Amino acid sequence: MTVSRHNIEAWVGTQKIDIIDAAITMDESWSPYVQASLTTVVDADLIDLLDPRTGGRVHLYISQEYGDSEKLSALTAAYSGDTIADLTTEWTGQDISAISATYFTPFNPSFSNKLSRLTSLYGGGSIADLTTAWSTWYLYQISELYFRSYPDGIYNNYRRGFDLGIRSRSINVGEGTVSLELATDEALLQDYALVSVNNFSPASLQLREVIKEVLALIDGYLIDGITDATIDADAALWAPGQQAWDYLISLVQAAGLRLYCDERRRWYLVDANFTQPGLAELWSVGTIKSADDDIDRNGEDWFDAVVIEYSWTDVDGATVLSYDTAFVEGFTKVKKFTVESNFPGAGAAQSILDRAISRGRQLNVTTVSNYMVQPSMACDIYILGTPTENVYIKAVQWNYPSDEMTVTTRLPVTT
Amino acid sequence: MTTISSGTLTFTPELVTAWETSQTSRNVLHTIIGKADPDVTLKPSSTRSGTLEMLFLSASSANTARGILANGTIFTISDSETWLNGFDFVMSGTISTVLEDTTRNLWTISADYTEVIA
Repeated sequence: MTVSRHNIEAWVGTQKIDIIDAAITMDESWSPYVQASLTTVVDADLIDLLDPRTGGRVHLYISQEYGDSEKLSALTAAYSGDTIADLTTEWTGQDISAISATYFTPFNPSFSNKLSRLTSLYGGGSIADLTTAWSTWYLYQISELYFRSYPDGIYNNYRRGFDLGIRSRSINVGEGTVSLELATDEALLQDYALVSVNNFSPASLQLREVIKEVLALIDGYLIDGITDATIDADAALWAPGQQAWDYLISLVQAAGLRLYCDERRRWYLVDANFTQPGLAELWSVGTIKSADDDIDRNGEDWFDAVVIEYSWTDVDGATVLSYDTAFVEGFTKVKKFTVESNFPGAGAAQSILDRAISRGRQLNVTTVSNYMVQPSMACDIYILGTPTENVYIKAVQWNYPSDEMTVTTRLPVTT
Repeated sequence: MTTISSGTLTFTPELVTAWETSQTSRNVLHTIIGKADPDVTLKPSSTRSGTLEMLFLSASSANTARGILANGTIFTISDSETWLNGFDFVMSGTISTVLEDTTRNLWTISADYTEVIA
């Protein structure tokens, strides 16, 4: 049994909002990347701050704690009359974390399985059988396998923060509740379009520079990186009225890249096969509540051929259509996209196809919430009686107050 | 003597005939597919809620009390004898008014309440 406490806090400016329920989804195949819906209580003082028209933003903090920490007053009580210098002497050579750990009461002890666990698994077998079964393993790996590293200290407490824009606000007058839809800043790019009588030409044909120039219009900031591409001068024209997101994403996809804004308002330009560091391990003897394994031809996620139609009105007012295609040999399911943009060169179809193929088989695993998990992270799923899955996380949705999350996986992207 | 007050309006039942309170735990028990014991995520329990039953000697005093309870407001109990003194609550279910069967004279009001931290 693992015991933890889950918290969710929402703030608008310096005011705290009381939350009735919430669902927060991070999905690498979505734009906006993070979308959340909250139900809160109507509070007359706050309601004007929650106006989507005036760029209202909500800060969300979700956390999981594995124990109770004492307040600083515990130190005061224990060392009453002493000076801080006395405290320093008392704890000579110790880190501050040691003090924190002392004044922390974990909910769970960690423990290792007893040897009898091996006996029950390999009952009747000889030790030689065991050696054969694990011929390539080291002893410490076996120990690790049978060690339930239950989170037992302050180090496992994890908190994730979000800074999201309000997309819609709906007040249910009868119930006295407010429903909020929140999203990351891709939504701002989708709202924005070029207002001008002339086409816009970016100052540079380096993709990163173009993105920075456009993001500056919505106060966005692209995190430094080395992923870049050179774009075609014709494709770099931004037409009046064309959505900023459409303009950028056609350039980004043609270069086989991905542009997204993370939950802390940081923009990233990354490769299609980008992964987040870290490994999420989900166990059927750990936190998994249910799991299903889906392959679906009817869904929108998987296809094995892509046609993109670029539609563009030229200076004479004529509509110019250009196409980009990609397919797997012997393809059986085709998906068409229509983009209102000048032809940015071929490439987008292939990168969309690569990602669609990786979503062909999806595992949906519902577990007790864990806020360290995030999309594009490697994930190993161990379910008794089925082969171990070494996959990647496509999406994660955290739900409150049920304290459970659903992780949707994909296969690695091969380009 | 027990007095129930909303700040501006007050009534005093003849007798509090029944007081029953309960709290609901909101801890979430997660059934894990490979384990017998559930994982637990901790949450504070709800505040106290239950039914308050009061006796009135006349139809008019019962009706006054019923009218006051029907206001959407926070009530406070003042009680000189029990630990209920200072208990803050709101109405959360039904308020039922019953004429006592044998005498046809006494009135009983049962009100579902939930504690609030005022």
